[in-house]
Amino acid sequence: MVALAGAAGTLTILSVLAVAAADRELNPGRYGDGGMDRMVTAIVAIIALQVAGLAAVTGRLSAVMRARRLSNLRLLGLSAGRTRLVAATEVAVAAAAGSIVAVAVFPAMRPVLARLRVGEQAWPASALDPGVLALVAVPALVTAATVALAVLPEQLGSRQALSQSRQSEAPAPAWWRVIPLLLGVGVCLYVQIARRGDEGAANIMLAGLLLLGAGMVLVVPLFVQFVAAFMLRAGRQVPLLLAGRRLQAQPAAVNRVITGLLLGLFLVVGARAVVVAFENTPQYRAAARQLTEEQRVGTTLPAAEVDEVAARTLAVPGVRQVITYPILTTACDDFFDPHHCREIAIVATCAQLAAIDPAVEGCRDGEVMAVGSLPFKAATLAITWMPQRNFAPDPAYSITVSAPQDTFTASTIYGVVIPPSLPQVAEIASIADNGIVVIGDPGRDLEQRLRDAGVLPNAHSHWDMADYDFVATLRSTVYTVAAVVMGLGLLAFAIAAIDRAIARRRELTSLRLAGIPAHTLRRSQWVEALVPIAGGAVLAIALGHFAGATYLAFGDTDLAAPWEPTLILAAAAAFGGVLIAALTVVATTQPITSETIRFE
Amino acid sequence: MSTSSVLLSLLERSPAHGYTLKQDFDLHFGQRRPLAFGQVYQSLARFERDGLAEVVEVGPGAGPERKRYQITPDGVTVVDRWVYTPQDPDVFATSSLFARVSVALMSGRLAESVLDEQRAVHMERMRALQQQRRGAGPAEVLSVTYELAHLDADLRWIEDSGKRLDALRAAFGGAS
Amino acid sequence: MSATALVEARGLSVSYGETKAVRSADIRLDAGDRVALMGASGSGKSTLLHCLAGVLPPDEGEVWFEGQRLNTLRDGQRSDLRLRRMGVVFQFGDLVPELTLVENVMLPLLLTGQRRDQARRAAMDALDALGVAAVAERRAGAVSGGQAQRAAVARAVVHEPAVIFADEPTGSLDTVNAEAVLDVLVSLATDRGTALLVVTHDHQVASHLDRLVTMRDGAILEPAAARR
Repeated sequence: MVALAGAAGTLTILSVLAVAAADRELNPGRYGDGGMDRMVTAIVAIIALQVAGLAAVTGRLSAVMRARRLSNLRLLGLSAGRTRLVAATEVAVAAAAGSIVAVAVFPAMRPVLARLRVGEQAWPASALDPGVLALVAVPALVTAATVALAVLPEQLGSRQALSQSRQSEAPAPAWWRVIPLLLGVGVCLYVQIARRGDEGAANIMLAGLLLLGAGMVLVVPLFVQFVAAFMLRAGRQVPLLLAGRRLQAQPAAVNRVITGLLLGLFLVVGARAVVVAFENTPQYRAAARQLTEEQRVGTTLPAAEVDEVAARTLAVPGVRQVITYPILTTACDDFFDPHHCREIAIVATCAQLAAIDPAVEGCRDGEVMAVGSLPFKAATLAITWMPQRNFAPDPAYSITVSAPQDTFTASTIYGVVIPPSLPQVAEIASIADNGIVVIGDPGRDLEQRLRDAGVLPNAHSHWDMADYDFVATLRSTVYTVAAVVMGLGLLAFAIAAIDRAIARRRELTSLRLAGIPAHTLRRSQWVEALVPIAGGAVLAIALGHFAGATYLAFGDTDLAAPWEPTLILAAAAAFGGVLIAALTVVATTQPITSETIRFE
Repeated sequence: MSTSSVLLSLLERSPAHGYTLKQDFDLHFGQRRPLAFGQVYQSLARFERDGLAEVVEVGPGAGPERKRYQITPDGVTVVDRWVYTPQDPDVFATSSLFARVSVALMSGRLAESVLDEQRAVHMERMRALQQQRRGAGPAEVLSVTYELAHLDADLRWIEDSGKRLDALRAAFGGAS
Repeated sequence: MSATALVEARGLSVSYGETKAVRSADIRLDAGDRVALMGASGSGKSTLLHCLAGVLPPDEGEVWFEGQRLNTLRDGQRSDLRLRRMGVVFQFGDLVPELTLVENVMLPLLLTGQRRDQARRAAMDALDALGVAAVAERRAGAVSGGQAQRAAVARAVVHEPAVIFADEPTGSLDTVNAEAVLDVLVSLATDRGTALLVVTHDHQVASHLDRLVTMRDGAILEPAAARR
């Protein structure tokens, strides 16, 4: 069992590291500012926490069985220290064997991982190399952690812990455990209501989130006690009585496993809210539109070619619409800052602008306006616009208008907008270069399609899909981590729960002999396994959601925390809880046979 | 059980007439058979002769029952010695039960029957003792459980021997 | 044999694979009978008890309880019968360690639909009769073996069953505690006319009971054979 846990843990961590390494190789740009490194570290930490939980459970379980054997060695005269050394060696050998097998098996895992697509991102098997250092360090660390958790701190298996907790009247957990959580909730509520965006508020929010997380961990035993007490009071039924009392006597080891699982869920749900912040950037939304609604690519053309090219473009399959619009440039002389030479002006009505860029907002017809921020100094009173750059100054083909005093927002266009209704504009526009926007069916292929059709070889998408892919990867990563966290956490819980169930098999048989119906025992087992998982998951997911909402409320953004991942995780947790409860029920309530009685 | 030692120890509690001494004895130690008056007076006379007890009061009339006896320091010493001297463990080394089983084995008689009869009798006695124990005072509980424990030991030996009979028969060489 | 027997088994045989644990055993218990079932370990006494309690279906033979043939009842019905009409005690009591003593004793009452406060009162009375009312609110795992065993007896008698099956009920206790537990068991059985079947290998335990049934190699020895 220790070997198995070691293998599972090592494989999981190696996989994460390999994917991270492959990603770094394929997308070096993402790793510029260290943010990705921090993220990978966080993911490895979350998963390592679950691996540690698993190792602790299996390690301590086997410790109990070993203790019985080793006590014989003690009787033979081996010293306590030597006995512990033997125990540590046994665990170490088992964990190391599992880890080394995992390292050996890992190359075979690569094709599997390579087939895994996270968002649009896939990693070729060849790139999935966590590095020699990781291949050595991970099994070593997993082994060391298992040994430390299993042997050194407390030689208590969950069975022993169970019998111990049964023997002593467990003191009720102190009420102060709820204080950090309440403080965290209070601080987060303040952040949500105050909606400040300054540095001080950021620190307050961070403190609130930390209090929330730590508070959740602290409150778990209290929460379990509360649920148990509630069951005892509300339930007159025997299954609730049994399950409630058993929860009250729940060994700390089981609480720790649950805590690990809950912490993982909390972080994952919170992380999903962070992804929401990314998803609501204009770049992401526009890119997402390309994939779901329509693609837009654009370029510029000389006036002479515009009509002919536009017609050919419209004939390309998958092209829905082609829009052209004149673009003017500034007359560039010493009078102006050189910066101004790069400014352009679009000649279009607000309606036309809206067709070019659906995100246009705040445009007013008949006025010269700027998109985004004002490109010219306020002092600039007038600008002369011309059809092309370096156009020989010709009063017939240049106009001077006052600099824009007002702005509006858009996503794909920039510069100054000159209404076509102004005098002289039409003449200049007729010989000016044209911007051309091609609107096509959703997807990623419009650029390539046009190039293949031999039109607009320079056309390019307005949006860098890398932004979209990054967020999609982030989102998928959150879900993948969630799956791993849930999987490992539930596995550890299942092992602990089944072990406890087996430990009380004799008690259950005798209860059956005394005439307690099997369905009563089954039901109490269901409740006992389901309630901590389900209740805990609700707690963790709700708090994670709350933490995410706090993050999103920070700095006056108007985003709501997403419910869909919350609900998906809740459903997954419920499913996992039911699965584990079913497993423990099967493990404990076999029909009574002569063998079970004899065994007893 | 040394009756005279017990009588002397009863005298240690307070000076007493022969009659009350006999009552005391029967109450605490005489469940099996009550003590004869003659034995009490005989013992008291011997205590007086040996200096273990002395007469402290002589009532009116004649006969041994009018004397009240009191223990002497020598008497206390004797009680001390008696109480603290362990019983000879050899007391369990002889019994007609194992002798009878042995003879049965050697002579080809049914050893099983010897054991079975003894078991039945022992069980009957134990049931009676349990009955007695339930209504008994502290001193009686001691004597009853003492007997129960020894009967139990006998029964354990009976069960063990029952399992060994075949091997034993072969060893004794008797016909079965 | 008349049909009024409380518990009656005829021609009972049970095998564990190759081993015959019980060979064509006949036994009968009437109301108020107090029987010790003795025999060496492996002689089949526990198996016989489990058959009589309807836990273990025999390979051959019949078990009748209050005029019902157990073999023909479904598992749930037999459970229910045990819950209402039988009391069962084991060597280690086997209470639910997480429940308090009084809760353990309440279990059979709650399961037969008694109100909680009623069940509680009856359970406290039973614990009181066994001299462990003082620790009634402590968890079963936290009390001494003797106290737990007394509570187990309380659980077996609280619902006033027609028969009590006890399998080495004092096997984990010292003689003094064993005596106390058996005294209560016997006196309760006497007061209420409850039949009592105690499996034991201890003659002192057997001497608390009126009748002795001996088993050897799965067979019940005839009283004559046991004597002669």
